[in-house]
Amino acid sequence: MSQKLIVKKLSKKYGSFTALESTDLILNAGEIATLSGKNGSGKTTLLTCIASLVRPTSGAVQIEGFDFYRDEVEFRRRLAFVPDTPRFYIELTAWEHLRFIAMANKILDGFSERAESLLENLGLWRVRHDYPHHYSRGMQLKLGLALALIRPFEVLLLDEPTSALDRQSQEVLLEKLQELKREGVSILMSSHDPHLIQDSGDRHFEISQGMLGEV
Amino acid sequence: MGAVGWLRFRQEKQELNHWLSYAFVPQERSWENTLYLIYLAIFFSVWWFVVLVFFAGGGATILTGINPEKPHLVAIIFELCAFLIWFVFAGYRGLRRSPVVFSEEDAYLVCQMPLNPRKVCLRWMLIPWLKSLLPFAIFAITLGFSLAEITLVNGEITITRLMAYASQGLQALLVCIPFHLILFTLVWVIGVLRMNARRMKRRPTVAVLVFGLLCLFLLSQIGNTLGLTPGILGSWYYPAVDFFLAGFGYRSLGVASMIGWCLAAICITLLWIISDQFSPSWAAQETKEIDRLKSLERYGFSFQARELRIKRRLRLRDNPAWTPGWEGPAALIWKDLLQYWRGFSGGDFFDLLFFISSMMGFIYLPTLSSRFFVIVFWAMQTAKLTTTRLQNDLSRWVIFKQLPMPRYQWILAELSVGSLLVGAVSLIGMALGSILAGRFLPVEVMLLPGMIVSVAGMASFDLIRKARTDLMLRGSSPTVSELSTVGGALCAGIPVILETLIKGWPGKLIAILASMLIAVLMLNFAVDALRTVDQP
Repeated sequence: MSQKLIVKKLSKKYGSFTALESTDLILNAGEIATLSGKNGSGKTTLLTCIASLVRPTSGAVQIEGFDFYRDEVEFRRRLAFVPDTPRFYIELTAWEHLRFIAMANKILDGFSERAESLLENLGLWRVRHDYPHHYSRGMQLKLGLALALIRPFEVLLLDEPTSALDRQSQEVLLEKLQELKREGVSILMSSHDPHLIQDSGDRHFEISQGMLGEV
Repeated sequence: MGAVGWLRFRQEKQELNHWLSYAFVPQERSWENTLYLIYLAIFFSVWWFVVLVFFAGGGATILTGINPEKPHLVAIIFELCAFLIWFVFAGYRGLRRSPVVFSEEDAYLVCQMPLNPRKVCLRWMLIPWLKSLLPFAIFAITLGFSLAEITLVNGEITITRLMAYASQGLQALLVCIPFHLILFTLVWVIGVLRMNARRMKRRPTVAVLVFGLLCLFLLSQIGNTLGLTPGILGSWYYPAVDFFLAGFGYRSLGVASMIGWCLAAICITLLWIISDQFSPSWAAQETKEIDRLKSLERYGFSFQARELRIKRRLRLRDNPAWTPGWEGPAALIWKDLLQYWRGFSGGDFFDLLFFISSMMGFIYLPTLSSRFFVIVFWAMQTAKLTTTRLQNDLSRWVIFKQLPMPRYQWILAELSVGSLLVGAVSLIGMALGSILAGRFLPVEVMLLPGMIVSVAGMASFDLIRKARTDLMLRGSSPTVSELSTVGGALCAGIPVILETLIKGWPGKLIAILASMLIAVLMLNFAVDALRTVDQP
């Protein structure tokens, strides 16, 4: 099985506080890994460091051999990150957000069909021309997922994706994750939901005081 | 009600402390600190007195320039016009939302309680009234000083002369205060009448009628002063004119003040009577966002305040926008255009007017020092406008950081729309300046792109340099610092200095090359800063 995501000695310090100890992690193609831990244990720090949204103090991340610092654009093309609290542009509607991501990723061919099917599945089709700041938290999370799923990627990072979703939407998400897994996408998601960890993960990691360990 | 009165008192104290904290530590309870407060009060009273006396010279020139025979009538027209404009705005706002503004905390703590709505309404009036009165009071004193300046013969500053200023200013203030209180209370009456009507599911006809009649009243007063309305109606029909005449020493001040305060008391009583049906919780629903907006502005969160204002302006949904087939970095340009279009406000329009006027001045002014002065202000506005979208994108870090495009393309796309806008309006200003000055300056036009990019590049470098990912992930982004604005002004000014100092075509050529070189250098700084975000 090919290695999609390689994390080498990744660590993050805020002053004298160590948020993430030196961490190694490898995810293979088509693997779903779950990540759990107490509040403040370092889950989001690990995910944001892997996504290069936060500069790690040391270490490296590679996706299909592309290093963030050396091959930034190729790295970004292959990675999608969904935060637990997505933030949107206030002047753009949900549909325009999707269109913007498609334009920036140069994937406008067949955009309307893909966006329609995605929004239908997530239950956002009816409100696609609404401004996302009028959405509920659950709907905002779904739009955050849609922004990630509208484009191709090899590694998907999800930060507590089911925290604000209803039961039905959780099932849609799990179905979508299984579909991505079959396509060979590697997924790493943090969650507090024991059912999600048990049902969907091939591997499970636990993080405590910035130390990552496989369970 | 006692508890609510105490709560409101605390809010008023906090508000006062906020303004005092610019020069004083309100928390410190010592006699030295009290003495310092007295010293501050005296210092700022003297300071304001001197500043307003300084303005009085200009005021006197304007008043006598318009009507040398009766400058006091011009002063009355100015004052009435100011009141009319304010009343139209405030009254119209009263017809749209509650005049009583409650915060989000008030909405839960105060508005849910079974309180006497009359007392709540009146208790909430003091601070808004004082804040609204302040500019009118300053304006009235300035007009009073200006009239004193006209009557006094030029000469040394003596005690008598200062007393004359103080006396005229105080008289003008003494009539302004009750007049403003009357109109302010009537604005609240209009607002409460509107809310009462809505509660009964009726049209706010009475509120609209009161608003319309008062506007007509103020208009008729201005008309009379201008000599447009028939004088045969007698002074009884023009009480406001008589009122202000008393303020400028042409009628009895005592009688005018007494009438003014009596009328104010009647208006407050009217408000007391009608606010029986006033609903604080409804008012809180209409105003808690306004209060949040004011708090954000007061504490310097201008970026968040701007976003909140746009959110309030935008509807629930919008029709699909123009969607070109642009791809890659051009997507950022499309998004920026859409954001500029939907977020454009009256304030932005005035910003654009500023660019036009400053560039007119740039062309018109002959000396290097005066031109450089214009460039500093122009650079400040350019830095702000060109980096608005970058600042916004930094606060949407998760979306922005995942866009697969090289850093220099990011920066170029981010700055392009704002820079083109600044370029276009600055060119209009230059064209108008050329027409006014009767000379065309092609080199200055050629310097403009480099100047804009230099300022934008410097401001972007400063923004990105200060950016912290942990804050950006929470939706917050830095603002352009004063230092970078000064740096931007220097970068924009260097080519102008070179062009002035080196005569002939070599100077012009060197200036154009320098402007381009500085622009490229600043852009590179910004691109490099993006690479090293968060790096210690």
